[in-house]
Amino acid sequence: MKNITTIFLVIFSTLAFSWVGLVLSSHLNLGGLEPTTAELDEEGNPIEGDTLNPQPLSGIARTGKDIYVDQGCIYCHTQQVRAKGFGADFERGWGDRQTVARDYIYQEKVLLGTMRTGPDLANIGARNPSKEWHYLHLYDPQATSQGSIMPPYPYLFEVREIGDTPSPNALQVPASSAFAPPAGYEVVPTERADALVEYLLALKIDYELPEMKNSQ
Amino acid sequence: MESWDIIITLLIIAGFLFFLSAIIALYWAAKNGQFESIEKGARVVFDEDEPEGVEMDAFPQSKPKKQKNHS
Amino acid sequence: MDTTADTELNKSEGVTERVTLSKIDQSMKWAGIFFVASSVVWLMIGTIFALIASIKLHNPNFLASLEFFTFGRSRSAHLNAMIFGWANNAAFAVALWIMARLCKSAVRHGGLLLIAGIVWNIGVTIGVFGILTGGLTSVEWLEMPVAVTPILALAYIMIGVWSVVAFVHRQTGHVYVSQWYVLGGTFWFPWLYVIALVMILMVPARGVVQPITNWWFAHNVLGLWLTPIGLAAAYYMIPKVIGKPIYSYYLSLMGFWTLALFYNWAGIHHLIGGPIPIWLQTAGSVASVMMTIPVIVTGINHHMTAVGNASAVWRSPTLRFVVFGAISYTLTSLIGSAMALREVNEVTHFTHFTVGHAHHGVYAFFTMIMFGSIYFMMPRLLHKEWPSANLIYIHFWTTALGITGYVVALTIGGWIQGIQMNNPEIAFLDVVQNTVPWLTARTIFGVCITIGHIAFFIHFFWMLIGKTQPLNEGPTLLQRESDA
Repeated sequence: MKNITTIFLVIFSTLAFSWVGLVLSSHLNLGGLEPTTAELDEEGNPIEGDTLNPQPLSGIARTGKDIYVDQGCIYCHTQQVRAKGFGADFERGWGDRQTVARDYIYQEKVLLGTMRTGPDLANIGARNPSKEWHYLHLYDPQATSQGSIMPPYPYLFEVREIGDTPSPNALQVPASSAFAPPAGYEVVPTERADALVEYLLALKIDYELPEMKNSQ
Repeated sequence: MESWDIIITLLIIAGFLFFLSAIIALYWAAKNGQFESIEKGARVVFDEDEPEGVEMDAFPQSKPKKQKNHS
Repeated sequence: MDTTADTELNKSEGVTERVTLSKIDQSMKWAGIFFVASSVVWLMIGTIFALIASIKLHNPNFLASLEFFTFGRSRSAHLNAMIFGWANNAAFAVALWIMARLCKSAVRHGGLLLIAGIVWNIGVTIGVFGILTGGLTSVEWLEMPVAVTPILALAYIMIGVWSVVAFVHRQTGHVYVSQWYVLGGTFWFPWLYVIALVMILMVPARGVVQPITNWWFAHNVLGLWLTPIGLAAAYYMIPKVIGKPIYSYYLSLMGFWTLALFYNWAGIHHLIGGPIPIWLQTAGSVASVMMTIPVIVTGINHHMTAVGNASAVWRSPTLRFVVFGAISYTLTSLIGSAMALREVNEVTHFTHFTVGHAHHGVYAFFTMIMFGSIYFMMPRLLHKEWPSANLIYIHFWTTALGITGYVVALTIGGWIQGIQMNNPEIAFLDVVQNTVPWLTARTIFGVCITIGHIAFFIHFFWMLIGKTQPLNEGPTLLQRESDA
């Protein structure tokens, strides 16, 4: 009877130990990070007047992030650039610098990811700023990237009859696409596609942080 | 973030208490004889209903080879 | 006090009221049937989603216009149906049953346990449906919408309490290693689950603390919940069926304590190279390497117990599956330790190698042991024999060969993928294309496994509903029926 309490405590303590060691300590270490400037003054404080980075997402990009989350993009795409010399993240042009803990502080949900069935997206907005490309790529990945195994997202678009004049935001879907619209029809992004593309374009690591000096 | 600090202080204290209790429990287990007669402990899976020395399972529609050599 | 109780029991003097095994089995009957039946249904649902997700990776246009089945969602529905539906239901049934038997303590108020089980399954159903309809959280292993998680946590506690109750009322003095494992898993899982929920989804911690918590959680669900239950079952089934005690009981206890100490630090190796402090990555690697101790210890122990009894293993459906699982445990854990080394991780990280490894652990180890345990448990709960030896053969060979092929394909394919991804000379799309043959092979092996699951599904419900006559004598029934 009395033993169960003790056993409970032992079993619990082993896990509590790792939790304190891994989770809590990193929370203490990293949980208080604030945005800062690329250069610091002598006391290590941000320089007044310089831009503080990272910056939070705009409203529509936030909506786009929700779509990224509910479609499960994270299961094939990471959002992290590893240090030079570890993997080929730099050589593949996925980012100009390694990402660090501070880059993620404004993200209510951090989408580091663990799979690269597709390429890293930490810096996709800077790597490929073409809206048209992203729309077409989401509608039919094969149309922009022959041989891609990314799932198409036709349901984020609307196929509708062309009115008096074609819609200005209609996609230029090549006729060879498996999802090419029938004659007289056009493909128009829904609000969800707009938001998702806005989010992708907002993914940029185009600023410097002071810790980059030491770590590359 | 202030509420986090309080929670975390409490949790760290809890963590240390847990660690302490692990040592106490190990001491208890040793004193209590959990580590003695250890090989006898291996036999608690058997009893009269399912005794030691008898194979307890075989494919259906085939007789278990109880004490015989396998065919 | 406990040592005296022990000797009394060994003399079979009835000072303490002993409960016969068949009474214990009887007390567990309805809850046991419910949990196993639910697990088998979830296994089929999870298999369907697995196939859909697998096909989509080499035929991306398959079902593409249905948002419900998009890859991110089918894959997550598969994972959650398998872990929370199949694995947890099977673990509840097997762990509670083994616990009750080892404690010589009948399950009291089995009706409440049944209700807890129903609540759990309602939670999983809502959760999986939520994933498919837009509630996916994209937090690995915590994909279900936050709203259903309190239901699951509550149901889990209601179920877990039973193993504690059985333990508190135990009639035996010695705590067998399986009991340690079950108790460990019972306590570890809710603590992991609640902490991860709070720190990631409810009150999100800042920045990369989330993924750190995420991998501490996700790896521990495998290491401190499924692994202990799988090992508890192996430590019970192997000596039980062979009829000989475990080779070294001392080693088994050592295995438990080293697992408890090292495993829970290991999950961070999923973030090697990521934007987290180097010392954390190192801690993760060190713990992963230390895991070789419990793994080798456990491996030696299982091997030495089974080694002189190969024919007994072969004759018993239970042991075929359990021993396959035990061998897989050793292999997958050693590979896992290697994957935590920076040099290996540089190749395997972010590739299908990891997916193969995850299935090696959850399927080839855990699931196979659960299959074996269910083959042993159901006849005792139902007092019926399994109706068909052939269906068991089909089940064993399709799953054993299927998962072996699956793991081999993804291990090789993933390794090539990793090497090529680290070589910037090779265009990314070529790297992707080079994985396709391996992903296609994965689907083929997946179909093979599916055939086994269908055989198991049919066999289970045939046994449950069908009128197989109870055998008085036979391989899988209790020796004495007098108390039934």
